[in-house]
Amino acid sequence: MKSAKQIEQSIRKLHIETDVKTREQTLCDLATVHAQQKGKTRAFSLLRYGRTIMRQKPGRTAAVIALALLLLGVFSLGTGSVAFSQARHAVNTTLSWLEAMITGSTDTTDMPPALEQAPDPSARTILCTASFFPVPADKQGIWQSLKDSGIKFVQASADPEAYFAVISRVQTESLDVLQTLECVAAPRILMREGQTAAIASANHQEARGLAIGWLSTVSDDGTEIRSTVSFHDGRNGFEIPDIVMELGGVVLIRAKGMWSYHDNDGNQKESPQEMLIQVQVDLQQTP
Amino acid sequence: MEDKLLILRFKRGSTDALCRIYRKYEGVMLTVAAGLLGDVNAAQDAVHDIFVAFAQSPQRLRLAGSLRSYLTTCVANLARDRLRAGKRRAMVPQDVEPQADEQTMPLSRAIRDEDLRRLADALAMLPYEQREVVVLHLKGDLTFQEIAGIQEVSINTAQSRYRYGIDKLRSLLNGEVQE
Repeated sequence: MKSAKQIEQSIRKLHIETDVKTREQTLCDLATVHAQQKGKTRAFSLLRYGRTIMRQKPGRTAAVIALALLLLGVFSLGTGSVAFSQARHAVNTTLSWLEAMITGSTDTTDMPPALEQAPDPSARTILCTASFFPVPADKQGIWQSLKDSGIKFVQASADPEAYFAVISRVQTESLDVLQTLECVAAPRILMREGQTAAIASANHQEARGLAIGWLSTVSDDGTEIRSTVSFHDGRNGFEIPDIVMELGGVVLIRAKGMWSYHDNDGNQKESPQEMLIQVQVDLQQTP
Repeated sequence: MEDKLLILRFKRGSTDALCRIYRKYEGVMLTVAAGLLGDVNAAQDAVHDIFVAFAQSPQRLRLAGSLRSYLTTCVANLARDRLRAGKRRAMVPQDVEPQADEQTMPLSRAIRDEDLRRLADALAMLPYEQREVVVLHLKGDLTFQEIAGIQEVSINTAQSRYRYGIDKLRSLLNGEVQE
């Protein structure tokens, strides 16, 4: 004798699968149709720049490696997710522009153009802040301090070596240990939900720099933000996909060997620079 | 959340996101379509066609609810259209003789579990409106409000159809006499 509840449970369990051949054929058809469709819509892409607000703390002389965090722009990088190639594109494009500005080989201050799709008006605006803290050899105790605060880093990439830790809004109070480090730059960027955006910064002494790419979305209830974050320094890069954090939460990223370290005379030191990057995302409140 | 990211990536041109959406939902959609159409082969055609249409129009996609609800609603609408057009007919055992036609495959034949087979056969004996509510609610996770919208009836009517459908299934599976 089956009860109504048992019948309902049985129907929920009812499940059939597409056979492998049909599934493969459908996937093939979808890829073909989608490729054709993409070709049609690319023509409707628009040129647009995003908005970046850059803040640089004083006390950093130009002789140091001078991550003179120039606001180089927000790039909406076309189609696809945040990926190495896109971050590389961002850093290479902006560095070429910056180099031309420094050497005087261009008389325009126009930013290099970037392609972007029409924005989705229903998408919410997200404020991302990335703070950069070089960690010199005599400040390596910071890692133990963070560990003692209950912050555990997870490896994001083996080459280059990079780790990350997701910090809740409450845990951010324990980040006062970062005050022992010097923040060389803290650019902020306003981006639309689902928009791929990047910031590039450059060393004005040589055509080098780094780019950070974001793709963020907000949960339906507005309590969480999921981001894919990419880094690239023009030579090496890594990506951390699908980081979920609460509003006002922070992601700490420890990256080794991506940026060479120069002393005050501009000489490159033997050991590569280690960097702690604090990425914070929050919803931009609209009045 | 994951769906939202997939949709955004799909709208920005990611074929990988499209394929992931397909892999994630094709099983549910196929089961819902087979439950409505009563034929697994017709259901596979329907799911294929829905996804092809989906792939062709990412920019027109506007989700009011979840992706699963959206895709399930697509299945329900297409199943109705096909049944109405007479292109495909649900296999209803009491008024359709078993056919030698190899192009059709009843849902129960695709299921190994004996109890679930009986359930699939019983499901196929329900009037279409009742079957639709039962399948969309239990398998497609649609709310009665969403189903009422699809059927263009009041929410009370959709709930009544669901209760009648479950009662009839219970009678069929327990061997009770139907009025």
